Amino acid sequence: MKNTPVICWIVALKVEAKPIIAYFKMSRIDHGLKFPIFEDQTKNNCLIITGVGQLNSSQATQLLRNENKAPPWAGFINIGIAGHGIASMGTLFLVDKIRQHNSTKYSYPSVVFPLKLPRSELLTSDYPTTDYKRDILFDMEGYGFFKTASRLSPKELIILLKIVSDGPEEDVKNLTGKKVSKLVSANIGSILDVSEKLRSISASEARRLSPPDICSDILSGWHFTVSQEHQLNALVKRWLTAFPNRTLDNEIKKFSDSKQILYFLKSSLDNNKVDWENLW
Amino acid sequence: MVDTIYVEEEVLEHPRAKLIISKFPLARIIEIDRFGEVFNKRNQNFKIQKINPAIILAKKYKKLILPAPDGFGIGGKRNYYFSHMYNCIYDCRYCFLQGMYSSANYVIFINFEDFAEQIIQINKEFSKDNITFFSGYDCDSLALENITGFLDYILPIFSPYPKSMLEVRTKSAKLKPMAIVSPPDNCIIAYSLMPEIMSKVLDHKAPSIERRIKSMTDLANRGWKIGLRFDPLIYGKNWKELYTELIESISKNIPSEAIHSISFGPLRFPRAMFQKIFKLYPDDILFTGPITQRGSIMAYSEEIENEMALHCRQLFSNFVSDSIIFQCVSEGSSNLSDQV
Repeated sequence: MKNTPVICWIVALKVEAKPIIAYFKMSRIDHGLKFPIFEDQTKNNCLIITGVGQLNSSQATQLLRNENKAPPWAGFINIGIAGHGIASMGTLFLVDKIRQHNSTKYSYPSVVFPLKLPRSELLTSDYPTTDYKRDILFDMEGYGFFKTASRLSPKELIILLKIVSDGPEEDVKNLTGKKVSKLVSANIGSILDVSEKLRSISASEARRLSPPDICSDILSGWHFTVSQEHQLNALVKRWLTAFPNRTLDNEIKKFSDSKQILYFLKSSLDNNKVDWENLW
Repeated sequence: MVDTIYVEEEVLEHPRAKLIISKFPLARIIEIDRFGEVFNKRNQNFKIQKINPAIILAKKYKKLILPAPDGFGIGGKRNYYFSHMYNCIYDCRYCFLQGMYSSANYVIFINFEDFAEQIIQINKEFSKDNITFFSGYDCDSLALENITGFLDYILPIFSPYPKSMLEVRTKSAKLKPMAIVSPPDNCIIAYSLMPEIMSKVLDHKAPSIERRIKSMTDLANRGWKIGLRFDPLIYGKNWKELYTELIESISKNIPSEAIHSISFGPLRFPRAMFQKIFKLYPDDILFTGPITQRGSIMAYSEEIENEMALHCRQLFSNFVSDSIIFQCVSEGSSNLSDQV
C-alpha cells in the first residue's frame, strides 16, 4: 500500500455514486466481486457500491480492507439519501449520533474539524421507514457501515453524510434515480469540502503510520528479523528528525549487518543533544 | 471554539451544566447516558481529536479525591490529588495525558459539591495533620477556569482548614479568579516551567514562559503563594545556561518570599505510556534526545538525570531555602517525589 492519503466512499446506490464517480473520473476495477469497486487514477479515492441494507454496507466496507484499498489511515465517507422528520428535501446533514432500530445503544461519530453543515442523529432500520415523527434522519445503512468502518480506521476518520430525500411532505415512492443523482450533485461542493478536510488528516496519519521510505531500502540491503524491523522503523524516524541535514544511507553503507545499523542509530540518538535554540 | 458538547442526561438540568452550555451558544448539544460512551473508547485517536476537541459534561461518582503515592508531596503529612477535568487545552509533548487516554475531549465533572464534601471529610478526619491537596493531575487547573469556575467554587471550601493546603497546578496566564479574591494562606498557584526556547517547541498552545512569569509576578504582588514546578527537566545543548537564565529571570521578577516551594523532576514515562505517545508523535523533536529504557520507565540516562538534578538544585538553592526545594525521583511511578 502506498503511503498516501486514501478516501473510501461507501455508497448504497449507483445513482447516489454517479456524481462522485464522475467528479473523480473513477473507473470500475473489481473483477467479479460481490460489490462494484471504482477507483480514480491517483488511487487516492475508491468507491464501493454496497446495495441497500446494513449487512451489505458492512460487508462492502470490510471488502475494501480485504482488497487492500483501505489502509489503516483511510478516511471513510458514507454518503447517501435519507428520510427526515422536518428538514427540507436536499438538505445535507453530518451525522453525529447513530442508533440501530430496536436498540437503545447509540454510537457517536466524531466531528474532527469544524464544518458549517447542519448535524443530526440517524436511525438505521432494516426496512424503509415512513414514520417521520422525529426530528432525525432515517436510513438503512449508516449503523452497519459505522460499526465496521470503526474497526478499520480510527473513529475520527469516519464520516456519515446524509441528504434528505423524503419526509412527511415528500413521499419516498416519488423518488427516481434521476432525482437521487440530482440531490447528490446539488451538494457536491460541500461533500468535496468534507472529503478534502478528511484527506488532509488521512495524509498526516499515513505519514505517522508508515515507515520512512529509506527503511525499505535498508531492509532490501540487509537482513532484519521482524522485531529488528520494528526497532529500525522507530529509530530511523527519530534519527531523521534529529539529523535532517545528514544522509542516512551514506552513513550506514559501511555496516555489514543489521545489528551494526541498529547500534549506530541508537548510539547517535543517545549522544544527541537537541539544539533547542536553533529549532524555531 | 468548541462546537460540540456532550452532556450526560443526568446533569442536563444541573445549573452548572446549563451555565457552561450557555457560554457556547453555537455548539451542538448531544445527550449521552455516561461519558464513557464517547470518551476513551477503543479505536479513538487522541492526536486527531486534539484538532477539534469537544466538551463532555459529566458527573463523577467514584475516586473523586485520591491519596497521592507515597513520597509525593511538598512537605505536608498527608497528600491527596483530584481532577475536576480530564484533559487539557494545551498540547505539551511530554505530557502523560497523551498516553493516558485515547480521547482528547475535555471531560468536565460538574458535581463540584461532591469534591468539596470529600475534601471537607478528609480535613475533619485528619484535622491535626498538615494536608496537601493537589489539583490538576489530569488537567490544567486554571486553563478553562472561565468556563468551569472550579477554583472560584473550591477556594472558599479550604478557608476553615488552615492546616490544609491546596496546590493549583497550571500553565495558564489567566488571573481570574485570583485577581479578584484575597489570597488565602493555604493556596499555592504552582506554575509549570522550562526554558523559553524549549517551551516554544514543546508546550504547544500554552502561554509563553514570559507570560507565565508575568502572571506569577502579578499574583506574587497580590500576596499569593507561588509554586515553581520544573517537572520535567529537559535535556539538550546548553541546558545549564538555559535553566540558569530561566531562574535568573524568575528571581528578578518574583521575590523569594513569595515562593512557597520549588519542585523538580526528570523526564520519565512508564514504558507502555511512552510507546503510545511515541506512536502518536514519532517525529517529534522531544524523542530525538537520549531517552532510553531504564527498567520499566523511559528516561534520560542516570548520569544525565543526576547532573541535571544537581545543577538545578544548586540554582534553586541560590534563590530560596533548601527546606522548600523538593525533588521528584524516577523509580517506578511517574510522579514520586521526596524532599531534598
